[in-house]
Amino acid sequence: MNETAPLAEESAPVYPMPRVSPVDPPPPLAELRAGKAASRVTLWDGSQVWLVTSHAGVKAVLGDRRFTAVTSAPGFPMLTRISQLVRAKPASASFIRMDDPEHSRLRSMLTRDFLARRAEALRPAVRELLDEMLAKLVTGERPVDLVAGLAIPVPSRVITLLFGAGDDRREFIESRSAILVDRGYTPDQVAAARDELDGYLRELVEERLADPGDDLISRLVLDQVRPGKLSIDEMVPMCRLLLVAGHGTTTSQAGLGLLSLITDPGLTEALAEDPGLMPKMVEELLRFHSIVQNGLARAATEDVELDDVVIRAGEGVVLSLSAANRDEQIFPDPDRLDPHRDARRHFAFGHGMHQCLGQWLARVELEEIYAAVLRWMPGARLAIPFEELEFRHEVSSYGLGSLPVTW
Amino acid sequence: MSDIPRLTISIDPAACCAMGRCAATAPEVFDQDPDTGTVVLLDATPPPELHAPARLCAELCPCEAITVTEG
Ligand code: HEM
Ligand code: SF4
Repeated sequence: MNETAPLAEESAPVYPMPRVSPVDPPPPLAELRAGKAASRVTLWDGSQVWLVTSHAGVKAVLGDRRFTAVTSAPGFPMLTRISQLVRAKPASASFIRMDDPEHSRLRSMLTRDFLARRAEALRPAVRELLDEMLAKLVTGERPVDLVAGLAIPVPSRVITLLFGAGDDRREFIESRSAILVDRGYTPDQVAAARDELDGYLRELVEERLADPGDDLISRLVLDQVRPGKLSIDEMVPMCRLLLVAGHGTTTSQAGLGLLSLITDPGLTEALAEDPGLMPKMVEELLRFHSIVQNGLARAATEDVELDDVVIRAGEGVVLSLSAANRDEQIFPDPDRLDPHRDARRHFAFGHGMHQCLGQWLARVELEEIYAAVLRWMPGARLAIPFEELEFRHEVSSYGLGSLPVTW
Repeated sequence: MSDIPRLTISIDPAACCAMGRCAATAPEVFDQDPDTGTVVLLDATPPPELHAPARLCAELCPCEAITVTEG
C-alpha cells in the first residue's frame, strides 16, 4: 500500500484497507458491517469521514437527497488525489457530480439512448463484433490475453459505435480515458489528458453540428443543442462522462468475470446445463466483484440520523458497494459465488438517482463477452498460475492487468 | 370477501428516473414510455403469482417511484 498513508487513530482506520484475497473485499469491512450503521475512517489526506458498509445503510444514504454528490460541498470525501483536481475545476464537472434538478435535467437528455430496449437492440452488433474479434484471437498464438484482446477493446468499440466515431479516433479515446481513471498518474497528467479529451470531443460536437448523422452525439446536437436547451460547454463534459464511466468499469468487470468463469467449473457446468442462466450469472458476478472497489462518496447537507449514528451537515460519507454486496442479511453465504443466486439487489451500479445510466448496455456487453469466450474457447483455462495474475489496485475500478488463457 | 391475497400498486411518475428496473423485473406489471423511459403501470392489482416480483420492483426502484400496499 501507500507508504505516505497518514497515521490513523485506532478508532478511525485508514481507508481503503488492503485486500488479503484478490477477489474478496478487505476483511475489516465485514467487521465494520457487524458494528454501528457508520464508522469513522481516515483517508489518504488525513481527513476523517464516515464509512457505511451495510446494504441497508448504503441504500438509505444513496436514496436520500440530503446527501450531495457535488465534490465542492463542505466535507465531501476526497477518495483519491485525483478527486482534488475535479474539485479544483468544478466548471467542467459532469452530471455524476451534480444534484437534482441540474443532474436530472442533463441526464434525462440521454435516457432514451440508454433504455434497456436500446441496449437490447445493440446486442446483434455487439455479438458480431465479438465473433469477429474472437475469430482472429483463436487463430493466433496461444496463450491469448483476454484483457488486451477483449476486455479493453469491446467497451471502447461499443462507445465509439454509439458516438459514431470512427476507428481512427478510437485509439486516442482509449488512451486518454484510461489515464483519467488510473491513480498511477499525477493530477497534472490527468488534467492534461482530460483537456485533450475535451478538445477532441468539442471538435466532434462541432463536426456533428455542421453535419449531423444518426448517432448519440448527433441526436443531442439536434434535439438539445440546436433548440438552445444544452450548451456545447455542457455537452462536452457529458460526452466525457460517457467515455470515462463506461470504459474502465466494463473492462474490469469483463476481465474479473472471465477469470471466475474459467477458474470455477461450477459456473461453466451450470451454464452448460442451462444457457438461459447467463443474465443471472452476470448479476452475481457484478455483485461478487463489485469493481467500484472504494465505493461512492457523498456529503451530508443536513444532520441525518442513520440508525444508531448521526451524520452532521458538512460531514463526508463513503458508501462501500463491495461491503454492501457481501452483506449476509441480503445475500446468504455472501462470499460464495453462486450461479443460481438471485443477486438483483446488488449495488454494483449504485443506487438512487445516480444509479448507472449505462447499466443495460453494460449487461448486454458482459453477457455477450462471457458467452462468446465460452463459445469460441471451450475449456478455456488460465495459462499461468493464479498467484501470478496481476491485479490492479491503483485504478478506480479494480481489475486485472492481463488474463492469459489457453484452451 | 375472498381470501385471495391482494396487492395494490401505485406509481409516482414524477419521482421515476427511468432506470427500467421495474419493467425488466415484472414486465407484466410495468412498462416504460419508449421516449422518456418513464414508468407506465400496466396492472395496479396483479394476480398473486406476480406479487413477489412486484414487491421486488418497489425495492429495486432506485428512485422510490413505486409503492405496493398489501390488500
Ligand atoms: C460493469 C460496468 C459498470 C459499472 C460497474 C458501473 C458502475 C456505476 C456506478 C456505481 C455508478 C454510480 C456513481 C455514483 O452514484 O456516484 C455509475 C454511474 C454512471 N455510469 Fe456506470 N458502470 C458501468 C458501466 C457503464 C457504461 C457502459 C456506461 C455508459 C456507456 C456508464 C455510464 C454511467 C453514467 C453516465 C453514470 C452517471 C449517472 C448519474 O450520475 O446519473 N456506466 N456507474
Ligand atoms: S425502476 Fe423506478 S425509476 Fe426505474 S423506471 Fe421503474 S419506476 Fe422508474
